[in-house]
Amino acid sequence: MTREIDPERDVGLQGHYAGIVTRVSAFVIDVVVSVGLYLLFLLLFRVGWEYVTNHTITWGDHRIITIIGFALWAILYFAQPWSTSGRSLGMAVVGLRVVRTDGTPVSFGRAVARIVTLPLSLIFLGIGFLIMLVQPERRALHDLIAGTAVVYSWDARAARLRFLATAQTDG
Amino acid sequence: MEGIAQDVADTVVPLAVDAVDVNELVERIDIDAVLEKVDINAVLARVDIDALIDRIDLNAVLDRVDPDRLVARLDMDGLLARVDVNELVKRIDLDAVVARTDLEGIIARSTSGVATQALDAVRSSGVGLDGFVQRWVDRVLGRHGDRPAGPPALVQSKPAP
Repeated sequence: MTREIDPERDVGLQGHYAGIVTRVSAFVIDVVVSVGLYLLFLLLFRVGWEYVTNHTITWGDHRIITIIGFALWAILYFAQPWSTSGRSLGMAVVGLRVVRTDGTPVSFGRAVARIVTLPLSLIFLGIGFLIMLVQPERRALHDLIAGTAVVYSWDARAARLRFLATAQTDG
Repeated sequence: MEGIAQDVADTVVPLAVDAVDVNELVERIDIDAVLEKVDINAVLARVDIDALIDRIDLNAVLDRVDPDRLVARLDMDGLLARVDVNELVKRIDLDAVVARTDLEGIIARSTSGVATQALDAVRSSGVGLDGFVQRWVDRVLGRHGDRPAGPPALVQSKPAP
């Protein structure tokens, strides 16, 4: 099992298609952060609304607004960074980047198409996500629809130097 | 008789030589025609180059060379354009260079800390797990990993490891 840290290998893998473990990890981080921030926003909005109007908001009574609000927030959270830096917060942590199939950056429109179609990959037990295990370019269903791919992308050379420095210091 | 002839020669030859204008004589010689008749290659073949070089004091020659003037005449841009930098970098033993570097000082000056190193470990481990899962899937499906490595603009066209 290849779990060990291998900075030399990582340098050579930059720009290669990312696998399912890193992609799911990045997605989980993004879901936790985006949902957490949205819930925080709802809480602060409710407190502010009560303070100003002296009326209580029960979000359960406004489910449609809450869902539409989250959808818009998700588009902003995912599509905007995908189209500028190529990565959301979770992808930046794990070291991934979204690109077009030819490797060039994605536009905002393509990024919106990707996030809008992402739920299709999650339904039916995430079969659209598992497709990447058998798809030659490791692309999920929403990648195939939006014409995108996910690659490894972080400063692996700097990481390699840090690793060598640490090994030298410890050794 | 022989003595008389010798006396005459001793008297006439110096007078004749004195009367000849050597410079005028040389000017009337067609040097090009003479050179055309000389087989330079045959002459050079008889020259012992090694012996000739042995007689040259190269240190003395080099002492007379002005390096600054020599370098000034070099077309450095043209020279560098002919150097394959990528090939040059490949030949550098980066590990040896790093080993000779003051890495502790670099670490002290850098902004990287424990969090950055933890992030490096997470990323590298993630890549390892990706490969592990993909190898098992390929094994189950009976594939031999002959997939494209990445998008054309980011990697050269070679199969994934």
